[in-house]
Amino acid sequence: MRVIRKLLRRARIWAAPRRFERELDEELSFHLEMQTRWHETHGLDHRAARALAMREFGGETRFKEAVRDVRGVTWAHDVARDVRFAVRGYRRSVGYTVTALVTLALGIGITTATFSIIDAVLLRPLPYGDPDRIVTLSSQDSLGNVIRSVSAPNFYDWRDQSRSFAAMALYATRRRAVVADGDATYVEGATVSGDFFRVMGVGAMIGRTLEPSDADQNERSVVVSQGFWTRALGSAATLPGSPIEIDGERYRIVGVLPPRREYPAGIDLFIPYAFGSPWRTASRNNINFNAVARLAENVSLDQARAEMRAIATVLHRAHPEDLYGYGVPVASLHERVVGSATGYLELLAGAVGLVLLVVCANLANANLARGATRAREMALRTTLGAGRTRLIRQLVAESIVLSVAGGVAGIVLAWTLVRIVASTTAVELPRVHEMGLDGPGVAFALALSIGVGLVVGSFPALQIGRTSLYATLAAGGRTTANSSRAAARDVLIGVELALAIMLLVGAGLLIRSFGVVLSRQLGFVADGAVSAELSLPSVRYDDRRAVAFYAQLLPSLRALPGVAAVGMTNALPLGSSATGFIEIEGNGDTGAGAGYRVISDDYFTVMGIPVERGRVFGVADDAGTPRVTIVNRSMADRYWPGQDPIGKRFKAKSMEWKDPPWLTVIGVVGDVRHWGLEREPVVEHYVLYRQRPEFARDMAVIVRGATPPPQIMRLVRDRVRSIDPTIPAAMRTLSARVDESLAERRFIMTILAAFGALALVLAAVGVYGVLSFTVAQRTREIAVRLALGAERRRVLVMIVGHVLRVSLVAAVIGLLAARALSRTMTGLLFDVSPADPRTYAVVTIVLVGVALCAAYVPARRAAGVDPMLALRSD
Amino acid sequence: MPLPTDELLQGTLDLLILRTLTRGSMHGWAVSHRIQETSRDALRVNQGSLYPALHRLEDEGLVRSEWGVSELGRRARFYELTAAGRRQLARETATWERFAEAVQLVLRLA
Repeated sequence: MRVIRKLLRRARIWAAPRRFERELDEELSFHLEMQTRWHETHGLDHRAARALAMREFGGETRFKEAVRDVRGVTWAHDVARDVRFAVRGYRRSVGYTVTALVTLALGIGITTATFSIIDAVLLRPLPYGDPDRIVTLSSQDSLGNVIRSVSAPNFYDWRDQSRSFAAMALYATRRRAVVADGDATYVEGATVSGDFFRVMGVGAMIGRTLEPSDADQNERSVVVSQGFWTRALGSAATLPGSPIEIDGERYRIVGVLPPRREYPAGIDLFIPYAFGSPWRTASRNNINFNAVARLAENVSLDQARAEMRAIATVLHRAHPEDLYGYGVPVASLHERVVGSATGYLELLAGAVGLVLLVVCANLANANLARGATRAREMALRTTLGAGRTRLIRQLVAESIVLSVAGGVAGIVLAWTLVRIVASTTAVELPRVHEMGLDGPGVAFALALSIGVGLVVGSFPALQIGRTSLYATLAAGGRTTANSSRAAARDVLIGVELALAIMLLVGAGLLIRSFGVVLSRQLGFVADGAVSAELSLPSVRYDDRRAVAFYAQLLPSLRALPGVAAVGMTNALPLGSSATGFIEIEGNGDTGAGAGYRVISDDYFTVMGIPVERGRVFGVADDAGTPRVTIVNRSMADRYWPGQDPIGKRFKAKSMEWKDPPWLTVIGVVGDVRHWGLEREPVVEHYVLYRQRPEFARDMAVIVRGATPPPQIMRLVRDRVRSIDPTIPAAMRTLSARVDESLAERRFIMTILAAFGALALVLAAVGVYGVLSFTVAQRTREIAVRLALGAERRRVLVMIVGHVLRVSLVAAVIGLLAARALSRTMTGLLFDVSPADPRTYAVVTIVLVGVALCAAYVPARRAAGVDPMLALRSD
Repeated sequence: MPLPTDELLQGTLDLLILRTLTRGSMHGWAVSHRIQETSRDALRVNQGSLYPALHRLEDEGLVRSEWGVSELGRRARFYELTAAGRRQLARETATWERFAEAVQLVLRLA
């Protein structure tokens, strides 16, 4: 604060330098007059009094300079002069200036954008009250797997027995149908227990948040997100208390949350729910909820973990049937929210750091070359009495002026980049709504600019005073005999090339991985299929009605013109689905697990999944007939190796609420990479929705046909509406789902490839620039050689050969560094070794090739020098 | 023989100026005159260093200045203490007194 006030006081003076000087004069003359009068009253005549006063005062100039120093005016004056000098110099060399500005803007822009993204995602505290105290509680199975969801009875036992938490809450998310503007659409809703907002530490922006008592009220209350409030309701139009219809039931909006406070991400509706007494006696294997808690005061995360470990042990002894009660992992909310983004954001930070180093090396090199052409100017100024510190300061100031100008352009670039990343739907970054270029980002960019300016500017500054004045002046400023300067340029070029090859190796490994991922089989045909996700509200749809709804919808879709097949599943591929424990008949293994999916009769047809053995579900399979199931190839191989699985039986223990019946295997189908191209198919089985109607609320209907997707979507929506106008359908093509599942990998690959390409271009520009400069400086020497009979080819080979040597040394160093660093990328690679020789070879060829191309043009120019012309020109 | 304030410890001049300004706002000449007078001519402020000191104090926010009309009817820059200046004066005075006491002790007893 004091520093700022001081700066403001000084700024007032700097803003009006003339007035400051005038006032100094006035103060001085007033003092002299007073002192003169004083002496006059003591008997001196006016002239003597005046002279004495002046003598007592000392030098006028010394006084003024002392005051200027004190007020920072001298400093400001010097800086202003340096800046004027710098601008004048840059206006004389436009080419250099523009190249440097573009390089700076790119370097600072992408670095700042990366900083802003990492700051928003990883560094900044979550926007909740005391966010470090919020934790999530999870389940754990006998294999040690952490499962993020929990069961209600366990939650209540934890809450009653633990002392580590100030509050605990349970929630479950589900899409909800909301009627807005006469049209039904889906929004994400969370049913939350009473203490949810106490745990999160969030108050309402308008109205209030939910209280535990809200769940028991006759009138249903709901809290909405700010985004939903403005988007769907039009914020000005309605006030808290206004009604809203959710899943066909009337609710009253009691509050609106502040912006960006949606947790879990994307939730628009918060509906109170009494996870009351019926839930206490539910199955502990029904783990459909999420648990959050706020640590009590003075309780550390480790203490909470220890307590929950002890509670889990006791609970599991009392409930040995609990398949997910082998522990209660406690993690900070930040960990849960940020999750997997940490890995690739760290890679991004590393890559951007390398690009910034290339930028610095490039600028330093250009600056060195520029410094060499100005050697004469500097030498001249030294002889005329300019101090070495003065010249160094000016060079550094020049560099900072340029880098700050580039930095300002970089801020604009960063702002654009951050907005693109924040608005892109190609990749889902956590906390994307909190992203933006703000105060810290701008401060970072400016600090970075000044830092880069200092580093880059100090290179030529170090050269000052190194060379003999006489030699420089005598040689007319043309000499490059200075071998230390030439060596410095080679080193800088080598550094650029080495950094570029490191980035290229990283990009190459990711590109190879992407190729491997793309070449894998999904196990189903995505092209030409459209999915429509539907949710039937359980209030109006009991099991029988839900089955009847789909039994009416599916045939009516099949009858549409241009539709070839229609099917349905409770979990689309490349999304989440459930996995449970099973018990194979005649096998004591209780740890066996399998994923389960609830589907309709024609699901395999519409998805193009091959049926390998047995039969699929048919009209004869119904609620009343024996329970049947179809397993995938992996499941058949795993549990019945070498046998015919048809007719074998097993129980799905976690998907049935109580007393699971035997399921008889009637068919085997091909494996599907349901969890994404990068994952291996898992052991899975399918059951028929008519035999498990409890699961038939949230379903996805898949329609395949020759008709273009938009048209199919419209037809499907109309059919759904004609059966129940309050049920919206969320439509997408399956291909879009596949694309999205690759988005994260494609995003990081594209960015690293772009960084690699940028580094390569910068390095090429560096090689080209330095060689052009060297050739220009050595024209006379080359001309002499040619005049003395040297072959033109030899000149060409000499220059290109030099670059070849530098780039080969750089490539070796860069490859070794890349090999060491690529280990950290292992998690992002896929079926490609971090030491993949093909990638390293291709990258080396590309880099050396580009370096030679960049060298060839100036080398040709050198070989083309006319000996006579060069000798004459001066 | 008057002591030129140059030869005093750095900071002493600041202390003298701040103390003098507790009597109200005054211009630079008055400050120097006042110091000389109060010290019964024992301290003579070097006028070349008085003004830089006044400006430094203002730069640090310990005094503030305003243009006013002097007793001669001429425009003059008047300096006065700020709240921060008063606090600083209290601190410096205490330090100075402890220091002076300590020096006296050493001179008397060592």
